Amino acid sequence: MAIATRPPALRRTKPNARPGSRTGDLARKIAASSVMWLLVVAYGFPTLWFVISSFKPAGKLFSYPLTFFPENPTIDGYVEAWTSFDFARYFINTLLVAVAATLLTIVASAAAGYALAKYQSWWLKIFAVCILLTTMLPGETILAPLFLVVRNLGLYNSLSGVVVPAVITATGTFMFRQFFVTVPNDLLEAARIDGSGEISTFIRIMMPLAKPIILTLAIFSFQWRWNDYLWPLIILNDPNQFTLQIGVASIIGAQNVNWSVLLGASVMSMVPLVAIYLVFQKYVMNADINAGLKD
Amino acid sequence: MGISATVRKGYLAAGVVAVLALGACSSGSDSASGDAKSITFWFSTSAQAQGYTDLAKEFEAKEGIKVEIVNVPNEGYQDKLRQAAQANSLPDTASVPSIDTLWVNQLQDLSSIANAEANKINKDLITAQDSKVLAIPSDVTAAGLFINKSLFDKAKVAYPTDPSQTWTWDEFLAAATKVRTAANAKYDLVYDNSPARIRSWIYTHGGKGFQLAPDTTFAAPDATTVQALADFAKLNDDKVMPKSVWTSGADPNALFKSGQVVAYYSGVWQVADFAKGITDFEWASVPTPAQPVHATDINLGGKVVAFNNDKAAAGKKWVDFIFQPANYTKLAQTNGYLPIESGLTLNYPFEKQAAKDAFALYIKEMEMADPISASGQANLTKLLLAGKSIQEDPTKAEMAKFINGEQDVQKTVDNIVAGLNQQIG
Repeated sequence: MAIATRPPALRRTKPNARPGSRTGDLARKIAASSVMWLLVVAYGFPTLWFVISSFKPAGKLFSYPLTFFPENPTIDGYVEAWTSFDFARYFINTLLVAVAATLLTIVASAAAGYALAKYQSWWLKIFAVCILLTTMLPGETILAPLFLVVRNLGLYNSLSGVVVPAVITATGTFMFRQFFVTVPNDLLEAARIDGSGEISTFIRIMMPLAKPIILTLAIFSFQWRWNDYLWPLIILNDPNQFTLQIGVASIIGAQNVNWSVLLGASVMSMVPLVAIYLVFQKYVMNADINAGLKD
Repeated sequence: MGISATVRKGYLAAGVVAVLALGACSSGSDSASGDAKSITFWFSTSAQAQGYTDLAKEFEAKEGIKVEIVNVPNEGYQDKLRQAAQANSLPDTASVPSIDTLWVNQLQDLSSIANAEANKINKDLITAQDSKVLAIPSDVTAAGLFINKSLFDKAKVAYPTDPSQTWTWDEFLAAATKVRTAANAKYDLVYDNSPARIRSWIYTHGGKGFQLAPDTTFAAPDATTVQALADFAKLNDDKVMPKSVWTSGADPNALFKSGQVVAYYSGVWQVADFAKGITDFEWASVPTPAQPVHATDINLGGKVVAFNNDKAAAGKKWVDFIFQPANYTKLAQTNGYLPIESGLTLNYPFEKQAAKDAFALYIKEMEMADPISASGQANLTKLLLAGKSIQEDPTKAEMAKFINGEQDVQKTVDNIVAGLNQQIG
């Protein structure tokens, strides 16, 4: 709803917001972009150092004085990480979990968010409150009851036991709800008059409109599932079903951390996330969040 | 605007189909129940896995039982065991960091293995309830001192190599200061931020530390312990020791590896790491200083247990196999374990002489160590058998406040005792 009221407000302020001269404008632009560049450096430098350090041999990681670039670059850490556990299998398992959970999350969130935005019914309101309630408890508190449910459904020690509890997210549902609220009802009514069924309207008209939300949630959901650790660890017993984060965590011992291997494994486990982001970011950033007709 | 009945049915059907489809792709874990063709063994390690893998192969060749070895990450291992106990999905055997009151009554009695004459297992370190043996340690760990040998050589300062001719803490610190100034290093010593490591500081100074009274609560420690803690805090002056390790979580292992620190007080588990991870300078294990007590902190690497489930017999056979001296020798050598069994001839496969020497030194040190050295883990076992446990040792937090000057030593000691007793209520 906030989004729906913003455009007129913006329009009204626009002519008054630029009273200054061109030079003042330029100064403001430079100031703004320097802040951005500062943020890029603040976030980018540690990441860059982290990636470059993964090519240092174990004996040089902590040598004094600290160096940015490795003197004798090596991929030993990567090789050892790849062989220390079944990297390829864990990778595929994680990919399965992340893709399945993401697809199901989008379908469930879009449908639920659409229903909450466009239909009026007393039980829908209760349902909305129930979804909201799930965000009020920290994950650790519902771990034990969730575990019992998943076990009784027969999903213990299977990848679907990791996927199913992750499908319904309040964040996703409300992202879609907030978006569909901004889609004018005229569109819906026009579709109904033209004889479009409810499901057909949802799939053929509403879903394409919601593309930016779908892609944003896809990135988030994929990242959540990719980085999931405790739940998969508890649910999965068979090492053939382990996910990547379990493998990476096994490098961190009770007393020791094998840093060079951990760096290699971490960089490798990061690559898919970065790739997904690079592929999808242009859709998200270019998307016009205000879809459909404007009232 | 209501949804039509057919649409509602359609949603319902889609939902049911989705749940069924997901259910179908879940592979059952109970397919192998009843027969003992294969058993599971859970353990946690960041490096020492090969020994178990080798033993499992030999075990399968001999008994026809496949052992499926699962390396569970240390973080979350306890949670996983607790949930698995609820799901009736505990492994058949495991090496666990500590025994949980939630599943302690599901353990098999391992007394026939622990008491077997030939195995020569150190009975002081097993977990036993009356005559029932619940767990046998996979290995022993001990605290110990490492020095940057290159810096000592550069400064031409001597150091002892034999535990029977060890130095006092005063002598060691004097030597370290000499090395630091001569070799232009940054600190004399870094000391692991750990309640277990501070115990050996107390014991070597003649204190008894934090011990359990007969009513299984922690008693106020003796005056020597209080004095030792006060002395320890004084060393955190950013010259002898960096304050950051005990107050803000700096990594002592990384500091020592930088080559800027003369010595590092940690434990035997660092040997394998140093053998691979230190290439810029020479390092050596040296005897722990005695002022005047010869002591260390003896702890347990992992506790081997067998669960009482439908494959109990096969599980026990595997544990028995592990602890047969010939097999255990191989395990200890490959995994770099300090042995729980005595009378073994161990030849650790390190390439570095420093690492080999380190293990020889630790074995000697443990023989000489005052019996109090093992009391830390013994107290935890006692508490466990009384159905109590300590989730978070308050020593680290209270010592950090003391070193920061927020409280005096007496307050620190009182808070530690109170914090421990509060948890065992």
